[in-house]
Amino acid sequence: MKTIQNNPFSVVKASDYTDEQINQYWVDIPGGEGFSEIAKPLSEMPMIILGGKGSGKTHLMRYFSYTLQKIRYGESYIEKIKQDKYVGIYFRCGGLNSERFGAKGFPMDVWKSIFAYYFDIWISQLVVEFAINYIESSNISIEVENTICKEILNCFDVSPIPTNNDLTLTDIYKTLINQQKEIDSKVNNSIFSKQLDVNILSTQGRLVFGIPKILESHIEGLNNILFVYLIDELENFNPEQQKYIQTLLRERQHPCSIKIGVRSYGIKTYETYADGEENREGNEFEAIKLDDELRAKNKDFDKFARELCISRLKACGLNDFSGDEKAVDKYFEEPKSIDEFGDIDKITSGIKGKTILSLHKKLKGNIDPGSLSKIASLLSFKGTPIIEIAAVYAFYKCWSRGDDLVRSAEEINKSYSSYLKNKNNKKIKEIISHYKKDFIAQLRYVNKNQIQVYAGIKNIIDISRGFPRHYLTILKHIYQSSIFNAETPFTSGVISIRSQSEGIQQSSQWFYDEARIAGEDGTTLKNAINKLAELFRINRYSDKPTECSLRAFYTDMSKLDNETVRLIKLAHDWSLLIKDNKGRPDKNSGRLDDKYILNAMLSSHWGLPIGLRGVIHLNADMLRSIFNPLYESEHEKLKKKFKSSRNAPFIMGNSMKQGEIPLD
Amino acid sequence: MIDYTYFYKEELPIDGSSFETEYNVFISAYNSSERVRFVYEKSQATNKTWLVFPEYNYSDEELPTNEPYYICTGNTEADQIIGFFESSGLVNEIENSKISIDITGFMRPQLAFILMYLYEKKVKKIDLIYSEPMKYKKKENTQFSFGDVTHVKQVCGFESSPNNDTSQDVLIVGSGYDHNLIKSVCNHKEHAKVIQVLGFPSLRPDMYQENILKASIAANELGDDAMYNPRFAPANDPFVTASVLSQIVKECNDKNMITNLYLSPLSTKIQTIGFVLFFIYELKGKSSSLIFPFFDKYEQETSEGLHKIWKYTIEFP
Amino acid sequence: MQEIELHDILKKKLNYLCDYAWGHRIRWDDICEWLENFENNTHDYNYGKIHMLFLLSQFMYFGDRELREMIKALYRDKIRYNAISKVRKENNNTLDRDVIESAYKDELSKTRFLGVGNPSESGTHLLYYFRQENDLPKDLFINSHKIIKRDGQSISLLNDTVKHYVFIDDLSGSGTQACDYSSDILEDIKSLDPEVQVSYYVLFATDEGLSKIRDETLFDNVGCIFELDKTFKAFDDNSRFFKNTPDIIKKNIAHQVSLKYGNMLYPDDPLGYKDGQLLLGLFHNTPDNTLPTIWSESLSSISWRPIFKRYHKNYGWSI
Repeated sequence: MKTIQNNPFSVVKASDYTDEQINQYWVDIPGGEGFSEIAKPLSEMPMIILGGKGSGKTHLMRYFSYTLQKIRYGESYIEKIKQDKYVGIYFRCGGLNSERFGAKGFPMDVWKSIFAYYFDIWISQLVVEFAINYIESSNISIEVENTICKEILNCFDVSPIPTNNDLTLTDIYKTLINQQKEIDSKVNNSIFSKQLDVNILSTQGRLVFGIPKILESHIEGLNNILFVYLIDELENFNPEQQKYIQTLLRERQHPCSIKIGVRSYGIKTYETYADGEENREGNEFEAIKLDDELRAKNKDFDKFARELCISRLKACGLNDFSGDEKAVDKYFEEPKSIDEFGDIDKITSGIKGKTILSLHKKLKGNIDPGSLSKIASLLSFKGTPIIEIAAVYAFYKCWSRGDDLVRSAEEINKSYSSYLKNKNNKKIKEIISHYKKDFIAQLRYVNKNQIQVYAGIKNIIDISRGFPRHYLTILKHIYQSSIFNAETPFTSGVISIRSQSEGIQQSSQWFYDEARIAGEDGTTLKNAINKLAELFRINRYSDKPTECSLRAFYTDMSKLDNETVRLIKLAHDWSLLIKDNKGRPDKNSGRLDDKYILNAMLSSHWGLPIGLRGVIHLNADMLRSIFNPLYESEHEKLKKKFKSSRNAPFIMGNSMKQGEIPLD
Repeated sequence: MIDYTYFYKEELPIDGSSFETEYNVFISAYNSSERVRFVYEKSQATNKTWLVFPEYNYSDEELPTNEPYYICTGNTEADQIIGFFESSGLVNEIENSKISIDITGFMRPQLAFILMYLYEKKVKKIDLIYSEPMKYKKKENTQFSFGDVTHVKQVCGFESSPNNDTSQDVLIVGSGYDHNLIKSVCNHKEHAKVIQVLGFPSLRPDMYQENILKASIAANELGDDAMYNPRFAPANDPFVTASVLSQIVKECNDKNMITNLYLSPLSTKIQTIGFVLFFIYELKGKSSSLIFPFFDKYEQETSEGLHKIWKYTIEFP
Repeated sequence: MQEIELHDILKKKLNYLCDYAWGHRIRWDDICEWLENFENNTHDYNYGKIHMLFLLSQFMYFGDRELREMIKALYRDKIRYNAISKVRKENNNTLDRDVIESAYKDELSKTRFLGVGNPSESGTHLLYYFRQENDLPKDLFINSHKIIKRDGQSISLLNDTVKHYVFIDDLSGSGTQACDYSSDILEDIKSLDPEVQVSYYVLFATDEGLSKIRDETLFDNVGCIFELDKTFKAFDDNSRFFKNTPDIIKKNIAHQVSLKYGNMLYPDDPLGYKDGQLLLGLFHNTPDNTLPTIWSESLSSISWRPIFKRYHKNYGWSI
């Protein structure tokens, strides 16, 4: 079997791919029309594609670009583009280095006009470059080309060059480049020259919409073709610059369409120059959140993820796939399903085990020694650590209610002993079914020689759901760990649980570190996520977790202060929190509250679950102490109450409602 | 083509005697470290000035009492430096002056800009002084910034005339200890091929591995090629740094013509000089730029003691 | 911090070092096998293995590519820079390439490079890379017996056009080898022509070694790329390896464990030659100034698996 020399997943970012590679390794999302259904290249309605980092926006947009169309279709691209009915003009906003257009002692109004003109020139170059490339294989006459050139020059208010009958598109292209260079020179030197006399030769938007119209009308293959501007990385433009793009979006003309790719936090304004009107979703544009769309695909995303892995492995020469869609699963050691009625390796149960020892410690001082011994003995189930911890959990619940401790232990012993024999107690079965993963995590944590296990391809997909890049990053780290652990991944044997857990841990650490670079609020966000995750962690590893598999909260956002709301939304925009668009109805009022889930990429960092089941209500006080630095000082006290309510001896009293934070 | 290694560099004495060369103008960035104070006192110049940068957040009580200083104002490195030269009147004299600058306390964008400014003002030669500390207070956890990166942008005076073809963009990062800065810059130019330049030989033998460990936190952003195949330039030699950069760019262009080139010196200030020198000599007016992550505040002092003092004579084209 | 947490942190650190700095020289299974050398006496709670793992995470290894860079730096900083600077100053600060290179070529033609020790030793071994990396002509490299011509009782310089002899070495720990090796040859050179410069340049040197060479030899110039002061001794009071360590790591425990096994492995110098206490390895060899627990192999009295093996010289000198 061939050995893989290099990490098959080291190419992670879209930018790491050449256009040929994007084409070669393209994996479409199964179901319906795949990504075309999401991106809608034939829709004239402008679209804003929002997405967290790693959701695949750039990859998607590049796929629909003319360069990729041409690679896909080879020599018959003219015919195929006719069938496609669109041509994609892709570019990155970052390429303009637009931060140059500001300050330096000149007023904003001056920069506005210069930037708009520069942008038009930039886009025009791309369209003309496309046209030059396109007509290479077409039989357009010199006269027609010349006509096109003259009409393009007519889009200028003042033509930058004289019109003549020899003009070619290459001349136009060079003219546009010269215009750009001239502006660059003036803008870049303005700090020294203290001058900024840029000649603006065309009305805003005329070139952008005019040139495609001219091409469409004169070039037979482009008749009725939609020119789709794929404007990526909008977050790189400042609010004033984005205003211009919003204006173009609003004033879009046929045969053009506009699709904007932008990070979720990257839209700074919807305002336009059209009397300050704002663009609205559903009216001027439609918006999609790419990672939400991918998450909603469920099984299709699972299939897509597996295919993605297979395509990488094939690219490394590994062709050992039987066509089975789960062919890749066999390379990953699966965590063994833990039988609740059995023992667990390296976990000591019974009187000398950590569960009972901890119980012992907590009861000491709260009850007489005789009763303590009796309780410990009653709740000890040596050889079945899960049954034992479930029994102790039940006991803690009784304790928190203020029930008689010995009697509770006796009753629990009776029902759990019976369950062990007959396996048919519905309530116990339910507790174990809900809390089993949390119990196992607790057992691993207290038995210090155990790592938390995060493994199996299904879990890897669940962790990264909605973010193809995160998925590939995890695989990359797993591969790296596996090699370091002297395994031969994807060649012989399986990737051990240990290697997978380490790789997932490293990916989690990486994702967590990403929060720090979230601009000016980076540190605030990171601190907030720390506090939130810590609460989930407290719950999971407590004596009496109130929710199982918890990493989600819900709240009435209208009760929060503006800053807390802003930061929660920012955490969402940075994909640290995922919003459950279905919300969560409040049990009492029926009001639909907002529900947020901690991104599963962070689970490993805090020993939290991958799966999601429980959700906890966090009130305004708690949330602002988490998110808003002004209220940070309140957090310790609230956290302490949160912890006390879940851990023996439950000193906060017995009247607490589940999930609520007791008030002073 | 210039051979940067022809330029002069020398060690200055740390034994207490004044530095030999006399200058018309000596500038130093005000900083609480003893090494910066030492150089200020040993330097001989007709006109000696401290520049006080707002990012260091010195209070009035902490400012020099008996020495001339200028409090830099303005939102950008250009505003701050131009403001100083124009308000002091030096702008009219610098072309023919003998100038020395202690760069130890400068922030990198200001350092880069002052060099470009002096070049634009037709200064032919400057002596730059840098003092190495005995040790860094927090070892590999030394960072010169604190707070968040607010934005990444092109340094004033180092802006490019960009190419709209971005298919062969290259980002050369001089990696330092601050992985957040590396990540910020790499994320800003996510589409570019990244080449990492590590400071080696490093100032101390253990600093090399520490540098790698810090860079590895940004491994996903830097990419495998940059991590496994880094380039090396000495941490304390701007001239070799400039040569290495020139070599890297030549090799890239030989393979595939670079469409846009971005340089980001996040390592030592000495390497930053190298990046600037290379830019001035070979990249001005092209589709190349110096980019840097900007943040609000800088650590006032991160080191202790004085180990060595270097003088580098920069000769402009 | 719990031991298992620290263990994972150190493992991750070593993973990165192995991948990005050490050229995949070792893997985790090698490290596990090496750790098996050490007892983990939990009754005493001395956490021997975790301390050794910690020490390994502080180890400085310089592989092939790093050594080549250092060799380039040695030539550039110690030889070329000074010569070029002199040429420029003598020629009105010219930047004329032809003038400079021609003068430099002349200067170089009067220089000869030699290794320290006999041809099979690492100092001499370096010369090949030195020539290769710096693109220098072969005839500039000689053996020490090519310096002096002996004709019965009389001696003379074999080549009186040579004005600069440069001795190259990889590591000077105590300085002993450089002193011993060079004493005769330097006396001869200086007695025949005191104007001839003799230099000793080394990649790594302890400050003790450098002082000894400067004090006890006739070298005009002594320099290194990396100077190792006392803080590079693993268990020195000011050891840099134990600043900002996690709570469970104690220098005295690491010291005791290293001493315990060092006494079995290398009883004359249980913490490295002349109490070197170094945590340093080079691509071509691990110096014996480094802790023996790192490099020693099995002896008849003890089975031992090294992590960065040392290839010994038969006469037992340090490198």
